[in-house]
Amino acid sequence: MRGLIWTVAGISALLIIVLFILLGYLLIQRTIESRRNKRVKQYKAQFVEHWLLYLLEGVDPPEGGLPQKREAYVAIDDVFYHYCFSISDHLPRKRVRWFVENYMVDFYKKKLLSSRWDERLNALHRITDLQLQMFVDDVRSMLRREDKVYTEAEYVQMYVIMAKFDVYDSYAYLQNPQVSLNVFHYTTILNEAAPRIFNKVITHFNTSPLQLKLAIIDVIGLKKQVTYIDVLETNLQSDDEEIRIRSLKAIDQIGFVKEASIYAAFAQSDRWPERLMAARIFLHIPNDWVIDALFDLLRDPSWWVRKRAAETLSQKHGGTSLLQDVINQDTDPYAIDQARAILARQVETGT
Amino acid sequence: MAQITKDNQGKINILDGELLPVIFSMQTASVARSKMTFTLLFMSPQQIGVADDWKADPSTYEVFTDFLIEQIRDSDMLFLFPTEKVAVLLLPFSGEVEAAFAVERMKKNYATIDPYRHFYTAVVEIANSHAQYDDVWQNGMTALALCHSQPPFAIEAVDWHKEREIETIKVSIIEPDETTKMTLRILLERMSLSRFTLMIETYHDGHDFLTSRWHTSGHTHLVMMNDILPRQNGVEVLNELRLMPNSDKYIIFMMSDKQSESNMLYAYEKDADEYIVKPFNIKLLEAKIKRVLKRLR
Amino acid sequence: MEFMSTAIDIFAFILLVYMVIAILSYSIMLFTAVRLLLKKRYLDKTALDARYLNTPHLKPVSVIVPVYNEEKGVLVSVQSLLGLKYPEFEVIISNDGSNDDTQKTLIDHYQMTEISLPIRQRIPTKKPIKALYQSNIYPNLLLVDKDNGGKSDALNAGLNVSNYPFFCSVDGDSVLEKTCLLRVMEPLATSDQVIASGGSIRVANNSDIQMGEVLAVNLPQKPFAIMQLIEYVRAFLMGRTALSQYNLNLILSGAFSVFSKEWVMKAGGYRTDIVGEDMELVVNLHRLIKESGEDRRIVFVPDPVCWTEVPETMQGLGRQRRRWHLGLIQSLWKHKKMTFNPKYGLIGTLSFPYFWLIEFLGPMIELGGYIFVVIAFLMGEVYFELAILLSLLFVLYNSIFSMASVLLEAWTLNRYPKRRDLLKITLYSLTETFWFRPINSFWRLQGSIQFLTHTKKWEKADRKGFGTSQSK
Repeated sequence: MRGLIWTVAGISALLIIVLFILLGYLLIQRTIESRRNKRVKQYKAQFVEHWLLYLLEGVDPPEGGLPQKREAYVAIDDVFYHYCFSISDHLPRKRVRWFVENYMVDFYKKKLLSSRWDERLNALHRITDLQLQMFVDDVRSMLRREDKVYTEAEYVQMYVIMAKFDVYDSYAYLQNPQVSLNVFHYTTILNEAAPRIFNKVITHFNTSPLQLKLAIIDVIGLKKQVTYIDVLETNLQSDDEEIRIRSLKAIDQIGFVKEASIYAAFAQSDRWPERLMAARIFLHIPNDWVIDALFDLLRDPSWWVRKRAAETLSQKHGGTSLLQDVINQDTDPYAIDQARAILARQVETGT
Repeated sequence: MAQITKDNQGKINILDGELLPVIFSMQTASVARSKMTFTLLFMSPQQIGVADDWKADPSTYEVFTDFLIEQIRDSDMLFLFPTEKVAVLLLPFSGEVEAAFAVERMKKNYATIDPYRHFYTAVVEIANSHAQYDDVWQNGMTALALCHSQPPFAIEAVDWHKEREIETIKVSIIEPDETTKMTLRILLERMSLSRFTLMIETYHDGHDFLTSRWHTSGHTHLVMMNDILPRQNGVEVLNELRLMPNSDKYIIFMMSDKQSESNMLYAYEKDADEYIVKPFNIKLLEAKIKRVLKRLR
Repeated sequence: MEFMSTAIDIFAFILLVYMVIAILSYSIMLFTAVRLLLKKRYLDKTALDARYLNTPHLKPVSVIVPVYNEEKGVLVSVQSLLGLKYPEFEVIISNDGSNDDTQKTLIDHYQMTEISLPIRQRIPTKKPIKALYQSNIYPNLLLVDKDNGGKSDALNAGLNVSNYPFFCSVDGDSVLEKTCLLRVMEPLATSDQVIASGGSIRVANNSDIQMGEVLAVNLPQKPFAIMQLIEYVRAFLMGRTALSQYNLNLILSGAFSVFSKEWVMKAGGYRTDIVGEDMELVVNLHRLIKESGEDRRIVFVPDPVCWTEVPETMQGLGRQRRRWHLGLIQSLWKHKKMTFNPKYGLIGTLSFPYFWLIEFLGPMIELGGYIFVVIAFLMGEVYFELAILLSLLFVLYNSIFSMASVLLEAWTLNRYPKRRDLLKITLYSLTETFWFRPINSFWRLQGSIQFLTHTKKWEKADRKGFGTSQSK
């Protein structure tokens, strides 16, 4: 018993001592950090105008405004980041690159090669946000390293950099990623990819992994890329339901229908999401048969389909009176309900 | 004693010349406020072939003023100076161009009723508030005298009061991030604007701005703000400014970090003048600011 | 006498076993949390937020705020919600038949007018919706007026009105930081597997909060509030971070968490017959996940922070804790068949036993332990050594873990940046064993007794109407 007590007491005492040492460390670290932050702040206040004038008008900053100490790098990095966040002009962005190239390459490279995961990810984000193309080769060699495995977030960001800066072989990484990527990851990458890379990825559509296929379809819709509408229409014949539905969704987002007749079948589909998408797409089809199809969808077993059909009808030319007819003459209580709901909403918003 | 001249066909905008200085100073004051120019037409009737006024038929002046009384619009004001044989027509809210059209119309009409008489006109456009009445009178009469060496119906324009006022515009930048705030400030300070001077203030959040006295003055006021602000939000500031009685003086640019159709639509619905999504193009922003300022004229 | 000493020996044995299990599981949790949090200590969250804000993934969210007699706090809370950085969201305030000026305050301040939208009753509510209002300033601000039917009923009414595929429940007296919604939605937005996600709750007493904005974080003045601050840090940072890592978390605080509406609808919304509706929903979702056989997760994210006022009086705090504990037991009891049931995976075999032991039995054993220590010291000699051993274990089990959590917080998230404050809360955390813990255990025991005696009397917390959501 005695022995046990002494052991527990010893452990407790040891832990408390360790924790107090940690407390001391944190307090000291905090003091150092707050001093450093203060210096960064002072430095920033002193030179921010010079840096902005350099970025906006190309006026060279004074000697003191060039980075020499760590605080200076941190301050400039922050100013450049916020600047790039607000300004999209080509020339000022280029000046950011020139400045980094001349003075700050080591600062970012050190972060990029850091053993800390968070620092590396920060650096990758900065390279993307400040469009620092000069680091592309570093990123590429990171990707080629066989002795090191990065985290999923890092791989995604490295692929973003490759695709964004138009590195020719980046599509290959998307086809065979080093970690398994889901639709969200692919969408993030494709959303920032250079047009040439995007095009390249699309030409290899059929051999792509499913998740990439889905992402391609999503991004075509997101960016309203009318030029790729053929890809979407081809995919409507796919055996995969998910691919069909996403393609329909993308076509609706683009809002342009080339061949109206292929959509009629989807209104008859036995999957309600397909009928729902059909009800949406009918908005973009001017033909008369669409009205009849929408009236049928107004009696659909799914609430979502009925709702969407009523909405589409109301946005059609003369739609309000069509819905009024439904309320007056129809026998289907669901259809009447939906028509009422949509008309009530229209009164509400005054449209 | 100044009085409304009799025999004016029921119109009350025919005034004795002695009233002109008073009305003149009222007009110049409103130029300062509304930025609208006005024009004075100095007109003197002439008999064809008679060069000197005093040699002319004494009825000439009477016939002419009767004609003018018939011709003027309700918004115009006519001042009569029988001793100088001059009529001064004040056209509010009109510049030289509009005045020239009016004179052209009168010329045509006058020729049909009296082939033996014509008139000279001096056009004085007044576009700034520091024009002095005596100078204007002097310049008008001198220009009128210059007409005498010219053919019938001659028109002389006086350019000395046409220079537009430099207007002071208040600018508020409401933005929590220091770098962005400073960037916007530099951009605006460096913008070349010929007719405006900008007075720029920056605020950290909507509440700071709304509780300051800065935005209550009568100046035209360009407000550039982020849609998401600490304390009071951009949407709330927008709403509050638009509910103010003189809300027209605010030109409101909303800026946003995010692309959101519904937010954009709503901002326009609430009468924001522009909705700008970051990152924005500097040149485009400048062009947009210049365009709304140009419309103030 | 013989019998007495055997009984005491058995009790002491149970105590020791309990302590060992508890200390072991706490240690595992602490190490998991330290590993996870230290890894992303230097992550630039602002840059990350900005990136997410412009990705296409963030789906629209309906923020639902049930309120009952909150005229004092509701405006600040709504202001903070309207200031959230998020592409598309709506704020639905569900007024559960308040009999103060809550509704009038909102209608006046946000220029609200009545609208007549047809509402789809996907979850039946006990009390019908009387009217729906919309703000003329913020078109995405809605107010639901209904008769008093309890917090769950108000949440369900809000759910029926909501338009978006995800919803976020927020208490009417909480203040959210601007990036909160963005950060808590991130797991749901970047993975189809995550169906619910919750954020941290922090104590706001005495902090400078103006118009929905936390301007300065200060420590509370009352010791009870400071202890709760420590308790929250420990529960969220250490407990939930670790549990969530293995999808074992049974509680997301109703004061601030987001859910996929589809799944909540499948679960039938919030239960109205239970006190701790937030825990109940999460347990229910876990059950649905396992029963449907799909691979879904419920996660906790430590850095989006929701600030809330905690009760400062013993009376108010006691009321809250009895309620929470009652709610916890009700949920565990209701789903008791999941305990040790391998069909429910680790939730059944690990989470449930853990909650039964540490959360349900814990307070009883602890209190017994405290009494034992006091009596043993009084009796002298015989149990003296055992008493010392137990006391030491108590210190280890409470104070040291609390202190470690506080330091972990300072090391990683650092929401209390003043040096003096850090020193103060560290020292306070060491005192936990000696006063706060026994009192808390006593209240929780009362909660258990209420459950066992089926006390139906639902207590109302101080000025909060509903009482704040389950937080521990």
